[in-house]
Amino acid sequence: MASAKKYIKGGLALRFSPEGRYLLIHSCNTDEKNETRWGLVSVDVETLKTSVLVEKNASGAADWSPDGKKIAYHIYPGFEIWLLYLDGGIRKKEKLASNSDCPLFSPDGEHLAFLGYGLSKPRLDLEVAQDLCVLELNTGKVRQITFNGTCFNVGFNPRRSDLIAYMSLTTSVEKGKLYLYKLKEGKSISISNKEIPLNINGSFTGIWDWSPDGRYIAYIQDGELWIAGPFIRKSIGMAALHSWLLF
Amino acid sequence: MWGSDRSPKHLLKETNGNLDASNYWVIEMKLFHPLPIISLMRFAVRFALGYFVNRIARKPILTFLPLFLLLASSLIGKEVFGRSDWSRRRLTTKEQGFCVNFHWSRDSKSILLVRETKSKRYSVWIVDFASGKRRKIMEDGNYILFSPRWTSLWSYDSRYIVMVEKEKPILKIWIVDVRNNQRKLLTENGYDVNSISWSPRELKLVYTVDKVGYGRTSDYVVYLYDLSLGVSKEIYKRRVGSSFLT
Repeated sequence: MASAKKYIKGGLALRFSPEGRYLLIHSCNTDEKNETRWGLVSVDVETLKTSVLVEKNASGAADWSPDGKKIAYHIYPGFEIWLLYLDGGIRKKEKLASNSDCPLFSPDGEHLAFLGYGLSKPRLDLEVAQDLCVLELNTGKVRQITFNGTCFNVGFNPRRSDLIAYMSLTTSVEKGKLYLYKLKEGKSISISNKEIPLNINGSFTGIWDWSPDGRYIAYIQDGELWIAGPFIRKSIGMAALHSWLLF
Repeated sequence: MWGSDRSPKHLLKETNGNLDASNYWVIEMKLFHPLPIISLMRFAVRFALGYFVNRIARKPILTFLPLFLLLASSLIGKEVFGRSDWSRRRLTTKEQGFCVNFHWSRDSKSILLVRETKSKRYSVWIVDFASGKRRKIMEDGNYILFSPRWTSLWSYDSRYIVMVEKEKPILKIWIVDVRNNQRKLLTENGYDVNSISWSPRELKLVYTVDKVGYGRTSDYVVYLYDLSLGVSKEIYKRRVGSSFLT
């Protein structure tokens, strides 16, 4: 591991809506009692009009739906996930889950992945177990995916809603292995063959990512960049066969 | 899956001509095309092709061969050639420098790679995913590392990247054209940059700057930079969190 140093930022307080029109900001205000209130604000980048979406208790974990019409966000205290329906403004808010965190929309917008707290026994140094769960938004049905309580850093494949990558802690809260869960088949496969750090140089940056076309996962293992995949097939055979048939 | 724009030759190139377990040829097809007219036209072309092959080769079975292949590949499943398994491979080695951060380009064709140098600074590279070729695009420096999953350092067209360099007390935001390595200094000041991201649709960049002296030191101002106009606008002026996902 390289020596600790430098400047690392753990995440993003600014998030564009999928079509790029709005910017979601995790913002902090001080109320009349001089108490700090963390909220969510959206800014229209065309008109620069600002709208307060959530006034207080927003932890900052939030995600746009793929159509840009909903925002799933996390609040504390309470550790709840709420869904905000947007329609030029706020249309309604709906509570989706309790004892949970880190909501993430699937690319088709039909599922919401999140971390469920206290669903299994806590392990390692974790105060509370956290497991990957998937909520089917149409039916409200929740499916628990992991059962060892050490799930971290979840991410849907950007093109396929049935593929979810996540990290699971192994020997400490700083190391884990990267897994891929196939929703349709209901099974997990290990992507990294060794432990990989959850942070590099002291910050939880999540050193893995899907390629935007969803075909590969890149991750850093032992200071080397690894590529796993492909997880989406290209229809090259069809193109070849068609070429053969047509010409 | 319909609409392939890649040939098998391209796949070989993409995988460096190395057809191991990770590389496979598959046929994914449906019996009928979603568009009936095109489907009928293709059906007719295949039949005509089979008919002429039969006339030349004098083997009636060949008349239906193209249609038979289409049907068989649909029935047996999607794989026709080879394996559909995936594999893992190393794109860089430790000997080339300790990799500390990376970011996929939006078109998935390149990777921005940050390595730690022996002098404990960072070097910034662009790796071409298909060929594996690397080129250095920035001078070694102390760059802020952003999470690959939550930050878009690549512009939507995969042409520009943004890098934040911090040599205390000066902080510089660089925009680099990856086609010709031309750099543009967006801002240079003594403030801190909390988060930064390109728009997914336009050449616009948002970033937060910690305005020391603007109220509390943790107060941030959000700027929107329009690359086509070359101007930055202040769009939000309050405290901003350090991350969306902790």
